[in-house]
Amino acid sequence: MGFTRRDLLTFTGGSAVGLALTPVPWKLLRDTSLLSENWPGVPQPPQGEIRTRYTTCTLCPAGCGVRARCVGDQPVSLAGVPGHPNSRGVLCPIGLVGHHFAFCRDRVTGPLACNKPATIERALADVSAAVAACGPRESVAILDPRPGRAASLVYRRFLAGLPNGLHLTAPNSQPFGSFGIDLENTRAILSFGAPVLDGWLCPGRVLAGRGHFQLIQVEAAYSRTASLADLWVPLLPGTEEIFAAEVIRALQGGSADTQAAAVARILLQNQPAIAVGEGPSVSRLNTVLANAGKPGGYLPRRDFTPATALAAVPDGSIRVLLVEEGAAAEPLPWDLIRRKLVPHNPVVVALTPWLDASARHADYVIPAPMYLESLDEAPTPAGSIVGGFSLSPALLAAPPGRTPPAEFVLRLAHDTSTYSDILKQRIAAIRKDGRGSLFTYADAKSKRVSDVVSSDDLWKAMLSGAMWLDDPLPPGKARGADLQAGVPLRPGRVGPPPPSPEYPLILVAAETPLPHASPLMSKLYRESGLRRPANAAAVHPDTGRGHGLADGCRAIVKSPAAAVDLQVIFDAAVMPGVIEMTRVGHIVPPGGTTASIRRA
Amino acid sequence: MTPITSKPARYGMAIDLDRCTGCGACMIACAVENNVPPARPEATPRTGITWMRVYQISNGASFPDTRAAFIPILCQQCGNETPCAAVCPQEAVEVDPATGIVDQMPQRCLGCRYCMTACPYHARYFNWWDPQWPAGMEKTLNPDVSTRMRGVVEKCNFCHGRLHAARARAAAEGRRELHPGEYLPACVESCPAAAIVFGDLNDPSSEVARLSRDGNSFRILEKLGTEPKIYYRTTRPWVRQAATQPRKDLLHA
Amino acid sequence: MLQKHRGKIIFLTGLLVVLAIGWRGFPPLMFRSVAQPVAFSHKIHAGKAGAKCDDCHAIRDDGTFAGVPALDKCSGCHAQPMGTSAEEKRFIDRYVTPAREIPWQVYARQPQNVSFSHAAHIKLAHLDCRQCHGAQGDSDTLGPVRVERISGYSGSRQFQNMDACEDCHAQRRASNSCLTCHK
Repeated sequence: MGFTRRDLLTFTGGSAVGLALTPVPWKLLRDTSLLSENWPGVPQPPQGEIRTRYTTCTLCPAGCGVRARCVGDQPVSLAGVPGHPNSRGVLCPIGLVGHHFAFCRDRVTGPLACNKPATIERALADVSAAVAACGPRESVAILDPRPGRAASLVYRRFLAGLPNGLHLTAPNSQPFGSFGIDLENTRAILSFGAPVLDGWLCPGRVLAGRGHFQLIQVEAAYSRTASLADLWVPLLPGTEEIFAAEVIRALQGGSADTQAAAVARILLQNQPAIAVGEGPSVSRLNTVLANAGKPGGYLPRRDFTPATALAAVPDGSIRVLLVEEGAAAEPLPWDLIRRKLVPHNPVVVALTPWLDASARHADYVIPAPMYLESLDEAPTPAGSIVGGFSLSPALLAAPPGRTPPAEFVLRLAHDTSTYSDILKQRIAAIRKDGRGSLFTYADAKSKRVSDVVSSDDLWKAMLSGAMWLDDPLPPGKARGADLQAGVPLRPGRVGPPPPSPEYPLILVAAETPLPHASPLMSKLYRESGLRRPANAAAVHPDTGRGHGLADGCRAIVKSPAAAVDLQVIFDAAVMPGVIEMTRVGHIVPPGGTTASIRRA
Repeated sequence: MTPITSKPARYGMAIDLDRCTGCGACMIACAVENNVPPARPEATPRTGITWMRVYQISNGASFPDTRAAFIPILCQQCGNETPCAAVCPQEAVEVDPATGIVDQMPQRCLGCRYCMTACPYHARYFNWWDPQWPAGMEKTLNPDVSTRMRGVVEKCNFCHGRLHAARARAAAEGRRELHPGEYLPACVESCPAAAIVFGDLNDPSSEVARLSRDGNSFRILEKLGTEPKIYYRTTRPWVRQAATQPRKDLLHA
Repeated sequence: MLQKHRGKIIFLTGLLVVLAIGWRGFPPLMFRSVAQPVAFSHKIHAGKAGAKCDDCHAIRDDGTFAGVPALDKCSGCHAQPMGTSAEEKRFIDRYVTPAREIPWQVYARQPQNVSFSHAAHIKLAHLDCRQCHGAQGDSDTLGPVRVERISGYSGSRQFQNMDACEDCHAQRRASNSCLTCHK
């Protein structure tokens, strides 16, 4: 008898039983599941020696110290620098993910001219020609997001060499002029809408001192700061001046309404007190509180180079505008900027790492290195009572073809120096002046600058992570005129016109969404709802229902200037009759505007 | 069996709700430290992964009497009849006797999500999708923490990668004991308001043990008897009431 | 009789053949041997060169283990040939001169989710290198690395799975809690 099918089946049966008694199936099962740990697409963390490197955050004017935990040379997490005189070891949510910015997809990869790839030589030639061709009443302007840097000096030198150069800055920079705030000795803060506990000055410094000042938040919105303040004064937008006048009357002994009297009582019982925020009312209150030049109040610093405010420029006068934009691209008021440009053929150059934001409004785009990709600087931190300076050494390698904005302007000025040379000169000047102290991040120690042997040593110390702090102005040495003038503040909020039948509601800007350059920002927005998402309009449920809306529906919000499509959020904390808007890039005029809302 | 490791600790936290500003730095620091993947476009507050999650609650009143507070919720490290450990069919959850930390092993997990149902604090998160970082961003992952794949549950483990690193550092010096402050989870280190205190509840001299005995401290859902190790502290009566007798209408979003 | 038990015999034959293949033929197939890129001799370096184990395999201050040293450790001495062997010359030409890192194969390569601290085992448990790594440190040649074909992990008898680790931990009453060794 030959080998039959039955025999085959029997043989197979025997083999199957045998197979189960061997390690084969178990080993194959184990190995293939282990294989799934390593097949393509599985993210593998980097391997290498763990190192600590130091730098300074340049994403906002606070200039916090950064301690980077690196695998080899790649930062994998950022933290604050313990003992840092300004940031006190703290980093905000954006600072914590600064090392992700370089991987964001929306980056400019090469120079652009009219949205087409170009060379930097072409851009330089075109811009130089436009500068040379300026007419008699036309100017060349550089919009500097953070005046006071060594880069700003480069801009000023270039502009000074032109017959008509303007060093400009955006409306919300240089808020205190040459003054800093002696927060450590302040006992009461009256804030008109300033986000004191949510990203004001330097978060580490403010929160470290939270226990010793009373905070009164005057704001229409129940913001984070309002929810944590000792007193929240919800005012209809536009009525701040009236309220401030009441408070001043109460401070001077006159009678005032109960809320203003309560505020005045807190200010009088907790001296020294300061007022912060936008508007002439703030300036007047500070004068009445007599806190300029005194401990706990506004203290003048030595050096201050004011840049010109945009609003002060005559309309239609800028022929060539260079706009520098940093990694945390703060939204700019492009409506206002366009009004200042000449009506025909202005030339706008964006010096930015981002493809959207300023680049969308520019004729030429010059790619700048991203945060942490190239040596940068952090000038005097916002609100500091003494001058300061730190370097922000690079922790990553910049992709090829990026030009630091200051170097572009140096080349326009036919100067072959690099940005690094400029920063070295700044540090040499600090060493030469011999004032101030140096705080080194690695050991949290301070020493006098005069004890640093040479400017080369100072340069090396700053490159490994350090902050220079100037000495305070000796009391009485401040110029008398400065003290009397009080704290200069930008033109205050005008306030919206009264509501009309066409625009029955008041629109105010609520918290600005944090930059989404790191994908992990979704933790605070889409994955949790902790912060209000961008493009949202929050209204009181009664207001919403009165206008035919439902929670979560889409709506068109229309103001005299613009119309936007937003998602509605019902929130009982919102003042009835007010729309709180979060929108990236669109600026609501300070103080708000009137608006209407209807279902989309 | 006496373990040869240092004497057993019970790591816990005391969170000051009067200091928490709801900034979310702890949520971000946690995600950076533990290689938590960013959200897919389809992710929602129910399907996202937030080992540390700050909730906003209100007192239920309307303008101008609304009051809000922020409550950071992470795994409460239940010490008694730990619900998730009790229900796991895979023994992928274990309470470590040396530290008191409820350990989640994503490598053993089969993704049944029974533990997510059992957890009274909703502190467990499921990987609905394979983790994906933007091109090149894998270089920024933390080598002390493994990545997970889709189909497994993960949760806060008090930054176990940092515990390993602290133990290794102590071992290099010949020590078994960790000094206070040598081991800190990322959320504790990153909080700008210093609202979170971390330490060994078994050490009566530690700050966290002292705060846990404070009259203003309470735990969430204490009446369930899970003995969580996260203490919350507030002087505001309405916050304490809202946190201990939660109502859905007080939860913001 | 053969005819009567034909079925059983065939069944048993199948069983025995597969048992034999499964236990004898299959296991060697699951592993492959990978040779090290450089014929390094521990004996020469520990003997003539007088190096100690932790000259190259040190525990850093932060508790991490240097592992297999990087090229600069070797270039420190071998910038020029130290001996007369052809292997050394080949090594200098291929790696030292072009400053190329040597792609060493790791005998105990573990998955990403394993966290092993040399500091704890050497400084606290006082284990000798030989207890886990055998006579590697005294050997004249580095043997080939046994790698699992499918998963790519270590195929060495000791480090293939956690049995040896668990047994020693149980014996010395160290913690066998999962996250003690996993991350």
